[in-house]
Amino acid sequence: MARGFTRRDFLRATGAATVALGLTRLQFVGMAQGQVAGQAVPGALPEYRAWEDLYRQRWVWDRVARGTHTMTNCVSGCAWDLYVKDDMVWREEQKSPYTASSPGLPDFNPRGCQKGACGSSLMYSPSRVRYPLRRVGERGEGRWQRISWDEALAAVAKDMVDAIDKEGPASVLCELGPNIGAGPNSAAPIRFFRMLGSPATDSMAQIGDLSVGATITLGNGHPCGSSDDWWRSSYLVLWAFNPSATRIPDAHFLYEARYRGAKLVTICPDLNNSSIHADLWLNPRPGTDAALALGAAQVIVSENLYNTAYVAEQTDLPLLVRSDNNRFVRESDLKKGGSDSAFYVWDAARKQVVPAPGSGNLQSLDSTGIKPDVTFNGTMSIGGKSVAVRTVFSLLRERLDRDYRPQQVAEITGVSAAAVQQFAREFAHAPAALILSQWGQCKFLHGDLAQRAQILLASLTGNLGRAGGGWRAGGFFAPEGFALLGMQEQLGLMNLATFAAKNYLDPAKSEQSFSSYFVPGSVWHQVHGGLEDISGDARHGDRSSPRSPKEYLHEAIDKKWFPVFPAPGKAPHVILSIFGNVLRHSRNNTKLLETLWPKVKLVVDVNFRLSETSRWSDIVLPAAFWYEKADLKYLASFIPYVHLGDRAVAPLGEAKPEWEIFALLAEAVAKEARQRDLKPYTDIAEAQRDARRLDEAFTDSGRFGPKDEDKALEFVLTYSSPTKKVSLEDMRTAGAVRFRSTGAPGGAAGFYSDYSMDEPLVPQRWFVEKKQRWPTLTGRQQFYVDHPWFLECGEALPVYKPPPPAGGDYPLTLSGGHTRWSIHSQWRDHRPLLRLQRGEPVVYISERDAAARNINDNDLVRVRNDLGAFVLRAKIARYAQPGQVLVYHAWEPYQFRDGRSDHAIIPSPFKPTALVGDYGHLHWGYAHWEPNQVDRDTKVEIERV
Amino acid sequence: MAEVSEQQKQQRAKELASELKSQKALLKKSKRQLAMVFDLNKCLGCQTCTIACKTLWTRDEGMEYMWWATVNTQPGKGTPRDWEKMGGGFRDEEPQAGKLPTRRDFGEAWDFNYDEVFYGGKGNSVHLQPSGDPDWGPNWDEDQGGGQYPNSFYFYLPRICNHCTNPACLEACPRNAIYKREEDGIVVISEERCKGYRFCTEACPYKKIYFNHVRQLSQKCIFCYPRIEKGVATACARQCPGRLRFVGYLDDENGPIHKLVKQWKVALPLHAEHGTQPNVYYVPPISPPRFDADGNIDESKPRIPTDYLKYLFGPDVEQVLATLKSEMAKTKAGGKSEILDTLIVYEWKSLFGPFTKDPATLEPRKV
Repeated sequence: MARGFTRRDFLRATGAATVALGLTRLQFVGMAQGQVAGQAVPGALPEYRAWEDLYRQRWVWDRVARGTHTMTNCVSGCAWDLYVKDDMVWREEQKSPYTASSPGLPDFNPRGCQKGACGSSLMYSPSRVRYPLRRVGERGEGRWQRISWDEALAAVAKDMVDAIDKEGPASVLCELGPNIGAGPNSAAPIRFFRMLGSPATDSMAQIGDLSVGATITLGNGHPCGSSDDWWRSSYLVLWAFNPSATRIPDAHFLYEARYRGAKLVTICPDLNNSSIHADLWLNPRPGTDAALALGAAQVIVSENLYNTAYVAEQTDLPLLVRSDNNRFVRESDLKKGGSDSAFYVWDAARKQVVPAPGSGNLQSLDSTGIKPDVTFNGTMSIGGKSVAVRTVFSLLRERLDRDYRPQQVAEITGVSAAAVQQFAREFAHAPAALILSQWGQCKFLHGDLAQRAQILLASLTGNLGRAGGGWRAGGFFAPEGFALLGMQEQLGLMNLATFAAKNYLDPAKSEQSFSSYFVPGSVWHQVHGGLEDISGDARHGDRSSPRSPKEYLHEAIDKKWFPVFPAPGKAPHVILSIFGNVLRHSRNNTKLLETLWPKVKLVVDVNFRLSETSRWSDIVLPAAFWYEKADLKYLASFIPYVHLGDRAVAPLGEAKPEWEIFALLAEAVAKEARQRDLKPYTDIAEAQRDARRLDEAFTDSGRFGPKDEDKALEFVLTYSSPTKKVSLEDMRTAGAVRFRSTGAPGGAAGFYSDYSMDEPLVPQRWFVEKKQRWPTLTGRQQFYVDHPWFLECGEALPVYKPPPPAGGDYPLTLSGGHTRWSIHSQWRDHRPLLRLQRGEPVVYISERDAAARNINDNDLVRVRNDLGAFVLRAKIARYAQPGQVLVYHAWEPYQFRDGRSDHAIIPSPFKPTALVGDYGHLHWGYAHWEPNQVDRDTKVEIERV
Repeated sequence: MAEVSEQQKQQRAKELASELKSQKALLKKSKRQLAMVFDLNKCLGCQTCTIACKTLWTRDEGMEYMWWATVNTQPGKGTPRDWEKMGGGFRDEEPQAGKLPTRRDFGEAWDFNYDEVFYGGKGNSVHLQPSGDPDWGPNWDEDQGGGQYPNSFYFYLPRICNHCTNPACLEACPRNAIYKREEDGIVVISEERCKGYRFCTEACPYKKIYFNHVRQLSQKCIFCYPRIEKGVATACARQCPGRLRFVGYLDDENGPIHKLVKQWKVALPLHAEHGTQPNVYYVPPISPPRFDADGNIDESKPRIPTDYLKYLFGPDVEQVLATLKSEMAKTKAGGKSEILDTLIVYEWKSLFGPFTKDPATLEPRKV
């Protein structure tokens, strides 16, 4: 009956037209007229309000635990409260314990994002792995058998011991991904493989996240500050950076800074999610950022807007370069037995060549008493000959004036000359100008050149090392206790004083170093994964280098600039993948299945969810979810707090925390080794290992057993300077505590400043304020690199090189970026979030390019190039630059038809110059130096299916 | 039985109508009014509000497709699809007919073939995909926007129930199931009284009411009243990492809402022309300048066409934009602005008026 009412009937009723309807309504109303007329609704009509309890009763819980998303490679640390109901995490809500770093600054509350806000539903999602699984069909077929932990561990141990017995420890590889925290469960696989003496991959360049250009220029690729320092900037440049999507908890500082009076500039081909909130948007063609930066540098130099005193003191711009061989003038040129790392400047006061402060024996950059002439261009006597020499600045200026005048840059980038000039002048005049670059630029072949050029802008204007100024990516502080737990066998006897934190990243220290059991993941997969056949093919890469990329690769390996275990030509027998998803993230991922997988006898994936890599594994070991174990979130610089993710509930099914998994696996390996009487062996870092007592080694003779996760976490807290005097109980109360210290600099911690708990973090102040030398060959910000490979590739100075035709000659550039919808592949397949997208992968395409191809919104399209094709749906977006199509980050291959994702057709050429070694600061090291896998230069065509 | 005269009939109809009117007046009476201000210059489009609401209120059977809090890209068709063209509300105080959106207009809660992909033994011959060949969803046109590159434009528009002072839904409900809570003006649908006729959905010009097909009743945003009653801000606001959702009483002269809406007049209701007197207000967005035909920066007119903002927020938006721009010019010149200082939100809790309590400090339920 009710559905018989029409809207019109009701309108008539309210308009006093029909009696019958009115009467019916009154029956529905069901209240005494006296009550209606005389009294307030709530008091008079209790039946109206009683139902409200329904929702009050929903918002209840049994207890609250501290939580965060520890093992996901999300650079935000966020404190959450986990509301537990009936022993399940019912929902999470931000804890928000943060205070403003100093008065007058906005505070950090509340952190988090939509993904963190539904972590609990990811935990109970259909992709969750609950039991150990063994493959019973073909690899990748999706036929599994549930097995017991004992069976699973014994099977893994058997193949590991077998591999070590036959081929040595190098034949077992830990494919260590970036979803790593800073507590015991994160340290467990590092500790396990180290005690076993087998390599683990450094995945930073493998996933395309190494700021190679920053390493070249600054000696460290992780210049980092806290996000509230953004607030103090007066000119914020988001360069290939989209914080609205990728730095959700931190982005507010930018938009609040805009209100406070900072000018917010974004530089990106598309009007990205952050550009909509900018004061100025510059839209260069994809991959032309270096030209834009150099154009701005040309304006700054030619209009004398640069800070002469700063560049003379802090940079290599005053250093003298020989015109006969384009090499720096070195002490070894001038003196027999002289140093190769002592350099010279022209002292304008004394009119003579003098040693450059910061190099050779001169540890300080303090130039008191000399007047380095940045513009010098003359001759000096070298080996009895008169040799023309000139400063780096003079070379640079000539190059800028020749190639990067605003009009020239406009032609390359599509950004008008007037806009380049305006940007340059505003940048130079700003009291504090800050370029936030992050990791997007790393994913271009020539992203290093773009970074070098961007840093040049920040340097010319004296911004590096200044509050609210400079050029920043992001960094991660090293809790020493974490490194110790990963590296040291005897934990009980540890004495922090003997632990040279400064050295543990130095591979030259071999066993003592963190790097020594890592292999460069990007290089490793070129060699063992066969990726070099595509990535090393000159057709896809930089055609201006004189030799083929493959040749550089093999020369670098032959010269031992990069360690590869097992040696090229030998096969890895066991791969254990953890904290990552190599078959998702690797560019040319299908190539790994063709080349690497058949060589490997056993592939194991440790995971809380079934990823693409799990699907192609032989055994999957179920890991506890982040809310089912105790660990720390890694210490990203944006938020200077240590975050605890606690064990709110017991693991689902038979899942286990990683600490327990590896302690048990160590037992299983030891048992197997004892049974086979495996003799002690020499490991990849020349240490002696005995797998028969791996269990003792892992647990430090039982002190840290399989169930001692909390004890191991206490160890990390105790021995880490950021958590000095902070107990596990303190963490459990607070959820997050402000860093007590930032620990030692170096590695992924490119901070180099004194830390205070009462101010935002500004990197590089030791160099600028204390005149310490930069960690580069020259001891200065180094814009000139005279390594022979840089010289032969034409990259001694920051230059612009056009994007390579990666994938072939096609009209569209396949780009992308991280998405707001996932942290890599985590959450990518998550039902509630997919419902807020289109449920499946899409390629964003401009209206113009779509129309030209007769493509309508939501059409199924094929994206193809010389490497092949993948199929997905088109989404027409007005913000995309014509010529640019975007597939955002980290769809799982199993979300595409035929299991072929965008990565299947990304050639990922590598950069020869990033393969150099033995050149001051340019040497392999964990998270320090290696060519990235890249994807943003891929050329494609698109057509309707 | 005596004949009822035509006159008597008309008289009775008048009485009943008057009675109904007084009932509706009573149902929409409130002593105070809760309101929100959303600052669109800070919205990231991250959907944390959407999820915060989802995990708290709409996870039961029948509610899977509901998103009481949404964020949509403007210009766009939104949630439900083309809701702005569906009518409802009032004109000259007369209720206007509205269209009832279909469930597909809202977007179904698609399921996915996880088991088949993971455990089906079918390898790559199957892939993970949504059921039902979807052609719309709650955020289907995310980031698609408008304009012509490079002068494209878009922004994010978060929406909840507007908890209107003159709610069309309340007026339309034949069951008198919808009322404003007297103490705070929150508009709620009594789940005891509602019979699921959906006149409310037709009448609501914002189409913020969902139909629960399992329980056969209408459901919508409840302004988190269980939290509000305990001094805790709504989940969407408290969990918003962009710090752009102000919560408070409209009449609280010391609170940011009163200042932004009444005093400084920099926040405007959405589609106020529908006459429902909505209680969610928006600070309008300002995007970067356009490019002219030569690629030079063109400050002569805004990237987001003012006409479009007028369509959404009414003619007053011009004055609001002028105020915001002049305040921003002030701070860019090194000056201070009380308005912008308020929008900056130095202290997170200042967003929430009296609702600053941390829910984790509340008593858990007695087990």
